[in-house]
Amino acid sequence: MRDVAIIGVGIHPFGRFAGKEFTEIGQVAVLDALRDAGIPWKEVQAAFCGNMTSGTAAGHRVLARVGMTGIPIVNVENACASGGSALRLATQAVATGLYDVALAFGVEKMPRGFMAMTSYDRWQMLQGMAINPIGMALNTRWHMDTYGTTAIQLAKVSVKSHKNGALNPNAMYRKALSLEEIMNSPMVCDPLRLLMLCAPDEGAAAAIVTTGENARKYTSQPVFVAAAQLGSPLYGTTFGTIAVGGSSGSARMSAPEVSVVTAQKAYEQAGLGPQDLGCVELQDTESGSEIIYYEQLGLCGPGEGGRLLDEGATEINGRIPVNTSGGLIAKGEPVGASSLGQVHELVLQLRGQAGQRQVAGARVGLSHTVGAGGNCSVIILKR
Amino acid sequence: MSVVPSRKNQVPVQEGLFSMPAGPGESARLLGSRCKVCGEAFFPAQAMCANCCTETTEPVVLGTRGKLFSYTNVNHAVPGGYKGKIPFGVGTVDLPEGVRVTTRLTEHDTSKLRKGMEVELVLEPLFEDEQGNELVGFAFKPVR
Ligand SMILES: [Zn+2]
Repeated sequence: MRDVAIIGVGIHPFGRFAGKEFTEIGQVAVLDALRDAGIPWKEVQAAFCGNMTSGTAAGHRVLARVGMTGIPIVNVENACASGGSALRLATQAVATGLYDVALAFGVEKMPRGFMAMTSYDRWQMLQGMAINPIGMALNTRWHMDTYGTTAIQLAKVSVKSHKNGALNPNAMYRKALSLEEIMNSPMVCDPLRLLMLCAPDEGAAAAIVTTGENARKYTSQPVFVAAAQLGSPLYGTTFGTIAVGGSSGSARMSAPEVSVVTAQKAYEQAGLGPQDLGCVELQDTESGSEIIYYEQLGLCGPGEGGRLLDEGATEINGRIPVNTSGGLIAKGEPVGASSLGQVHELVLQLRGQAGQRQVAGARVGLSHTVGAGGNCSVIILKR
Repeated sequence: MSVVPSRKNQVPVQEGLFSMPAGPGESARLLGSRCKVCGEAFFPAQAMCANCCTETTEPVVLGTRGKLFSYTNVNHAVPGGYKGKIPFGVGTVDLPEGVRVTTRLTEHDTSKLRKGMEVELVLEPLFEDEQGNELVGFAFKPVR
């Protein structure tokens, strides 16, 4: 297998853009990535597009207006992990020697309001149970009952996200919020309040990959894909089965969670561990998830997630900065694009181009998304 | 069936999820399946055991009492065609057969819920569908 490096990243800001088609949003990110890499579209040999809600051949519709060069285009619907899945496919295509230059991008224009998910059984929908915050609230309540995690700690996640988002020109919410504002926002699914949740929105992000050897021709700062892993839940986890609509869980088993297993595989592939990470972008669908994934990604031990926040360890200037971009809580979640949005942030961080959000001396970054169906993507980047 | 006194025609949210009470003083029962090899139970019933990955399950009528594992509530309108009352409770309940069911709870006030508390199955009228039938779902209710 050949080494694979990212030579260009691009983004269309995350937010709400009335009157703008998803095709245009996607094109902005793709062109931005081409400019960043300094290559013409004609050099791209394959493309992989993450998207959930735009329907048939979304990637083709975006790219047909960039240039019709006859390349293979693959559309990936894998919920929150769509973009990570697309980058993994692009990486594999280059690593195996099938292509020398490939594009991964994600694009989304989400309908407003709580996501009308089709990942549940009809009887769950009719019982009012087909909304994502339910599963996350159940996991968060379990964490509070088991480890004593507090509502204040949940609010601290959101304070941090909004503080970072205020520094990110590509975020939807760019205003710092106080702990009181978050604690006084309406309860959605106890213990999760409105300002602790991410909102669906619109946006796109893209990355261009080539071999490690070729990368030096294009850039003096290649960022290597040290690992790209994708997984789905094992039977018998505490968290995983709630994400798989229509199925029950096991009260007798406690199999390792999908994020634990997928991260472990990624650390092994990269030959790195959590102690090597300089910055992390993880799936903060809401603040409970951020705390839970600190632990599942090995940034701290089980039950210690709340303490990381109390210590400020995950702040931009902390021991292990998490969601320096503002995370999904401040950027919003354009589902197909969110994973590559994380990659965009990590590449800026590793190149030292993150401006006011810059982490000092980061050499390794980790991107983590997990969502409907329990699918989970973990990507490790290093410079 | 007498979920609550009602003159409307009552229909379950889905056939095969639960049985109606057999008679006065009887309760509704959730219909699951259990693996003959490893003993894992599933709800709704499924032919394959997700643990053994073989077609080794048989139908099982699940126990009506369980223990609350986690809980939350829903305080806002939800997508997916639901037209019933808001707020309502939701929880995960561990049944004696070892299956953990995600379910509605009759209690939405989380200060009255706690992990490990005993809960029992009840049927719950939800809302009137387009044909004028009253849809009936299942929920768990704290045992006083
Ligand atoms: Zn089995």
